[in-house]
Amino acid sequence: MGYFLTQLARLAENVALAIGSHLTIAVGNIFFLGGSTMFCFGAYALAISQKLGVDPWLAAAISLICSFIFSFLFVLAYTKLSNDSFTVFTLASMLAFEALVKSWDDVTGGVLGIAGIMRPESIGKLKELVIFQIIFMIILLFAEYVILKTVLGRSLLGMRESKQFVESLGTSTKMIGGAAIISSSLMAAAAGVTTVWRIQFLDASFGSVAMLILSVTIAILAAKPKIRWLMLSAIFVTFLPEVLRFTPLPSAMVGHLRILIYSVMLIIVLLTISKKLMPQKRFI
Amino acid sequence: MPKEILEISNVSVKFGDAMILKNISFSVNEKEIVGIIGPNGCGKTTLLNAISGFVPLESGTISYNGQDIMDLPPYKRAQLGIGRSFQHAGIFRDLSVEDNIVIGLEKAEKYPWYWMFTPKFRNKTDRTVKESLEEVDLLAHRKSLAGILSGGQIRLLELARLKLFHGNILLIDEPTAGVAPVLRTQLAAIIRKLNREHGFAIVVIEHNLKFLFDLVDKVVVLVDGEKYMEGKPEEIQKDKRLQEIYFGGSV
Repeated sequence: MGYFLTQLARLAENVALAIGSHLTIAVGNIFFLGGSTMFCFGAYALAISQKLGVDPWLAAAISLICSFIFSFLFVLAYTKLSNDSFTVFTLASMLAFEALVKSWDDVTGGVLGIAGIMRPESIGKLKELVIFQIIFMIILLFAEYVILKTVLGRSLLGMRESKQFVESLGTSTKMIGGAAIISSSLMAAAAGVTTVWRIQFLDASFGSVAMLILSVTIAILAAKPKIRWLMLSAIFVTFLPEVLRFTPLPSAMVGHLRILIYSVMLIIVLLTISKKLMPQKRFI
Repeated sequence: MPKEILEISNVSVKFGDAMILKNISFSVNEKEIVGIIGPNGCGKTTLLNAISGFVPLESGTISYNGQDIMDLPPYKRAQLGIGRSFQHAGIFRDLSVEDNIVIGLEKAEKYPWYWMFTPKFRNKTDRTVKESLEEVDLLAHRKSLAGILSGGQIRLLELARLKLFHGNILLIDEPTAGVAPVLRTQLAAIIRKLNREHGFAIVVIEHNLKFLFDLVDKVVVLVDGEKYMEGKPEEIQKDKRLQEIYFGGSV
């Protein structure tokens, strides 16, 4: 039962994390790789607030507000940098944040991390937490569905093909991209909050490259800007490495192999499927 | 005296070391149709891109309704009222035909972001989409992806969206490119309607000279990035040098 609940929780967390990447990468073709940084940021903001004695729900709210403010750093980079430089910047943000977390011992606990993070009383048991996470995942999926129906979604879909076409209609692509990055960051931060409530421990490896590869793999494998594609992709990517559990490999190796599987999958997806599913950029 | 709405003055555009446009000047009056012709690579599309704000100017000025628009990004110029269609049609092929109209409509009408959840706006949108698509015989394709339409239908869809644009000038780049001859008359009729009924001034680039001369009030001829001449279609057609050198003897 515990294994089943944990897998469900992981699926809900992965979907919540990947929705943001899906919105930016698969829908808007904006290669925003800061999702895992925001996942980690949200978790740390929560853990530090709780360490200071703040109630878990209030800490979650503080975490989301801080994440909202922090996400403007990415928006600023998006408006100032070229596409490629922006992608590198968002990737580097993860390494910078990890270095900051490791070196700022007093606040983050350094490499030892922060232990004993409490869940809110109402979702204190794992089963309750998983139900909460699934409801939360459905809310986020619905949020993406609504976004896709609004001017933001349509403009993002338009930007997949040509930013110039969208601008020619009187829409600022910087504003649309910025809104997508903020939404994506908030979703990732919220995923970080619920994840840290489940594992109740946090260290610098929390939002590592593995999380980044995982979320980007789900987003790119989904490719089409449809919620059902995202769900199918998340289910596939979450459960595929579980076959390793039925092999006689040591558990430490299984962890590394999981990352390897995600990486190989991402490369295969980038080389094959994404080319067929992602629209061709058009120029004026 | 017709009111001048767009003034291009000594505009030069440089890509790297290559001078693409050299000191181009002309103006567009209210409700006037201006055609731009010239051989391939002479800078016609670059000129429209410069007016729309997609390429920076090396020198010169562009003003719209007496306002200098040089520092404005493309979307601000569109908000001011400079509409644009593109050489390869600015239609989003991954969006439905309906959404291609809606994406223009919601911006032009300044709908609130939540409009699709309110019956008032939904009904209004539904009506406008229906009327727009009916006018260009695309209603049957309303829910289809725009990418499956033929070249001519894509052009018609683009013009249907331009009709909803709130502004007073449209920059149309090669409307007949990739369009079957049978649809060209319909395209010309729609462009004329945009001008006469909706009051748009139009700057149109076109290689099909018969199509263009039947449509426009004034022609600007570009050769090698420079303005070779400007005048009424009849004057352009009479120019001996142009006939011999550019049009190969006769128009």
